[in-house]
Amino acid sequence: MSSAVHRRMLKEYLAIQKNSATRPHLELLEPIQEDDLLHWQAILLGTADSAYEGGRFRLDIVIPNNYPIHPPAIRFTTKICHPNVHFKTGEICLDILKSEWTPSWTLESVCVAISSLLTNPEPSSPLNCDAANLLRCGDMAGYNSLVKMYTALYAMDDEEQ
Amino acid sequence: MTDEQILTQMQAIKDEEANLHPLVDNSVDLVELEKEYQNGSAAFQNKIRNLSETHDRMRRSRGDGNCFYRAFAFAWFERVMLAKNKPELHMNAVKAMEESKDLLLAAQFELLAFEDFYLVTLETLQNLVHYTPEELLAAFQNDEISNSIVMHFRLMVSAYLKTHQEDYAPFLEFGQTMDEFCSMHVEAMGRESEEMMLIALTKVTHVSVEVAYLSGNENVDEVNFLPFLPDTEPYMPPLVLLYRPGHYDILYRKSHCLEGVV
Repeated sequence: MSSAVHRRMLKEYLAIQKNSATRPHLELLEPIQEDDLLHWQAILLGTADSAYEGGRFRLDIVIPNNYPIHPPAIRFTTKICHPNVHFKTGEICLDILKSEWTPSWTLESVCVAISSLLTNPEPSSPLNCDAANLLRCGDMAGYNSLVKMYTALYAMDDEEQ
Repeated sequence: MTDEQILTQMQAIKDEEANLHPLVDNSVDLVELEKEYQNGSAAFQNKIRNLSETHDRMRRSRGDGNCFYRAFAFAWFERVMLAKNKPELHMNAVKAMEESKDLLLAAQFELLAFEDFYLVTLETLQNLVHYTPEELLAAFQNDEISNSIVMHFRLMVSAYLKTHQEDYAPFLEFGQTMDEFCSMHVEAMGRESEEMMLIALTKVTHVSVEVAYLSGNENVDEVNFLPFLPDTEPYMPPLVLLYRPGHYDILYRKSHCLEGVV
């Protein structure tokens, strides 16, 4: 176990607790268990006026030992309909989580980036082709109603999570 | 395959390659460089022969995309360590490093995100007063220390470019912002460097560097040296790096071929 990554995660933990008021779309960002700083969870809130409104989307975050040289592994554990999220596995296609990762990101800024991906999808690199195709055809009504349906189905029932 | 699997596999290939070479190797006689080209073109052989009139040793830096930053940092720190009778070299280095913190903050980097890299780099620099050559090499061969130093050097370059956009933005591809360029080509580990990064690092550290370009050009037998100078008067002879397309190593010039080099 590397002590550097623990030192860094502890710093991030303390900073996140201090900043909690400044991030409206992030309901929660914390280690799942207090004694394991390498496994976190987050809850993103669907933005008002978007098709995700009212939804609470849970993320599972695994910090590698060589973080922040390498990116955290983040996936949705709440089912979500989004062109850049795999519907079954929750894998997220976001350049900064992969090839464009730089160590100047923090967990908090990455979660904010994922949150803004929800309302700014990138249909040219889809993991969910059905959702991406609706967007690419310009069928916003179809896209929004599909997203709303899955949000209501999977992201609004706390029992389900 | 999913993106993640592809990425994992690419990383595995890189790791395998990387483990064959230390991050920074022992220095070797320049004869070793000649040996690499003994079956190669006459152009390379002639150039290396010419090079060996003024240089006698080299030190390899792992070809993992970070070789420029690692070679620069090692060559600089080694110079400071060996010049124990010239404390001003150490003072200047520590001062440049401490100033880099303000530069990074001015470039909007979060203290939280860069502090650990910065502190490891500063601590290594402070340790140079009592380090032996073996200890310095061990520090640069340690993944955590070595990569933290590389990372801090990358962030220094990025911060310099971001705070001097008016000078460097004209060199970017059309439509690319300096922030995009830096996050894609400077801040990410393993991204190779180009001339703009060399210039920036020279300016930030106030350390001059000469790059010996070893190319296969048949028409010249001389190695072409390109100097990169800081804005301030250099306070020590330039570091010398050997460049072969895509890769940097460290060269040792005879005139300051220092005693006790490993």
